[in-house]
Amino acid sequence: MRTVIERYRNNSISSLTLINYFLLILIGLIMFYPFWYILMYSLSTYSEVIHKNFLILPVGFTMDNMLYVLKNASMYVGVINSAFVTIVGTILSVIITLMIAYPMSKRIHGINTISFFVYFTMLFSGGMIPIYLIVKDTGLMNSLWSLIIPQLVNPFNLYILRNFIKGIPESMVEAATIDGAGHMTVLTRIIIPLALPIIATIALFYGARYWNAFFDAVIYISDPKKWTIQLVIRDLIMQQNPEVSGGSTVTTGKMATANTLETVKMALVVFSVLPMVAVYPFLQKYFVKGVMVGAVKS
Amino acid sequence: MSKKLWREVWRDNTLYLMMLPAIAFFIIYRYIPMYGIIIAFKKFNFGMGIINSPWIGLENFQDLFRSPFFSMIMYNTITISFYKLVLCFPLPIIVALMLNQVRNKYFKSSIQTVIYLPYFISWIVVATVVYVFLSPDSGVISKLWADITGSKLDIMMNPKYFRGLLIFTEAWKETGWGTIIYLASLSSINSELYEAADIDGASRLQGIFYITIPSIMPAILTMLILRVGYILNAGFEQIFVMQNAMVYQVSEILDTYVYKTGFQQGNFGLSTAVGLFKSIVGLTMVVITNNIAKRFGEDIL
Repeated sequence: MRTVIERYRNNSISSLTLINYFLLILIGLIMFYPFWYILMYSLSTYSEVIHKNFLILPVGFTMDNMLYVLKNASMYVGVINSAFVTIVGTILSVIITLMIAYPMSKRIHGINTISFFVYFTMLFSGGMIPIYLIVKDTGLMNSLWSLIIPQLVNPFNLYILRNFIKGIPESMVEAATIDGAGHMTVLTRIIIPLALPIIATIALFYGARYWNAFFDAVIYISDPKKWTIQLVIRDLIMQQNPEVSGGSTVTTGKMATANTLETVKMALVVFSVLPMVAVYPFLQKYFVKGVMVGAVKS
Repeated sequence: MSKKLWREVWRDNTLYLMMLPAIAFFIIYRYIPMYGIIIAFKKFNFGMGIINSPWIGLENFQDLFRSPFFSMIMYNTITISFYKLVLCFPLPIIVALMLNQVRNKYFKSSIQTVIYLPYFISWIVVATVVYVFLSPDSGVISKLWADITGSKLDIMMNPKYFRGLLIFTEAWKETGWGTIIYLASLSSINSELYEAADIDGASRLQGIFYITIPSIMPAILTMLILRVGYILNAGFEQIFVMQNAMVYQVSEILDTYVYKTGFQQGNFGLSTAVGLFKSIVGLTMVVITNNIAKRFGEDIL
């Protein structure tokens, strides 16, 4: 009986379903097309692409632009610097966030006060200039560490992780405590293995933030040798059109990449997008759960 | 303090020690800058530093409120933010509802993967992409437009269209990611509700209006109230990378003004005052909206 009803219903709404699928595909295409276009642009030959407009496939297919980026130090130095900031930053951030998330999940003395002071920073900030001055005073100017240390712990990531740890059944921890395990052992042997999906989630959030950090790099880093990939890209667009794109920014140091072909620029943009695009689909099922744990209160 | 308290603190000393690096971080890079806010009440001089610079009371704030730019900046900040609220806020809800109707698991997760993609790239890359598409001379869309209409398409540097461009790129970058919270909320709806509606002969559209939307209403309200609380955040990095001299008038917001007065004009006092003004209004808005949320029975903070 049920199946008959369902079949009947499915037929009656099939046109709506089709429209739904069609619109979703359309939305997907709008989201995806710019990525595709940049990739195809970077695989095109410059002399042909400036004369011929293309929409889907590259004109004069070539790998030269990609190879040029790989061979040219002023280009890939940004990738190396960004990789350093992202890898070191993510590891440090995850460890330090774990080290405060675990105590914050416990009912120990003073923890409410500490939590308040941590979460308050989400609502009120000293602002751009006072933070800049403290970064300067702590000697981080013009160092890649200026992109890591002032961003070490993100309260939102901490909140997600703490909520998850709090949700781990007390009985699992008690069993270990009876065996004489200390907090360190509980954290490394029980909490971390159980929280691995959430740790992967916040690692992705931290990683994306470090890799994409732009404004901090603009105000803290001036030496072109220490430019991150985002700064190299800004530099590339600015020389094309000084009016556009952060043209308001303070430019210091020499243009590292003068007279670069448009197609080569796109190859660099592809390299800048690649790591994120390559990593996040594998973590997708985790971060959807992670956001659920953190954001939807039961 | 009682002996018991100290005994318990001592027993958990590893826990307290573990927190030290994070606490040191918050003190140095979050709370000391809050102390630095006093610059807003000083005539800041680099050589003298924060403490020795002379006090000037509210002069920086007077400068700000009397500045001919102030009304323009406030207007831009609120307008851009309001447009984004009205036009971008509903999109993730609609897309989440559409995705929720999809029965095919692979189709659903493929679409999800694609629409989350833009969230993971930086605004400077978005600006580059915009440039490739819309550059008046070499942009692919501009060229197509010129081929079809014979006229020049100028969106990036035209004050009439620039805000539209901001809203469109915001929607492109954030819509997919925004669906996550609603999808999470949707997945927690008890399927028995639908079965009951099904037996009563309700259509799928009726199911959406009478079951799905009311069920995710708390999530929608929470997000809406949070969004209203952050109304003075009109999208700093986005505007910072896409702005140009031709569109300052329509796109200069509080945050870009903080940057310009501070880093380009070197007026740290005024810049900090603008930042403080924004922080205080922002905090007030968040507290007010949270109180409203409490009346709806949704405690966010």
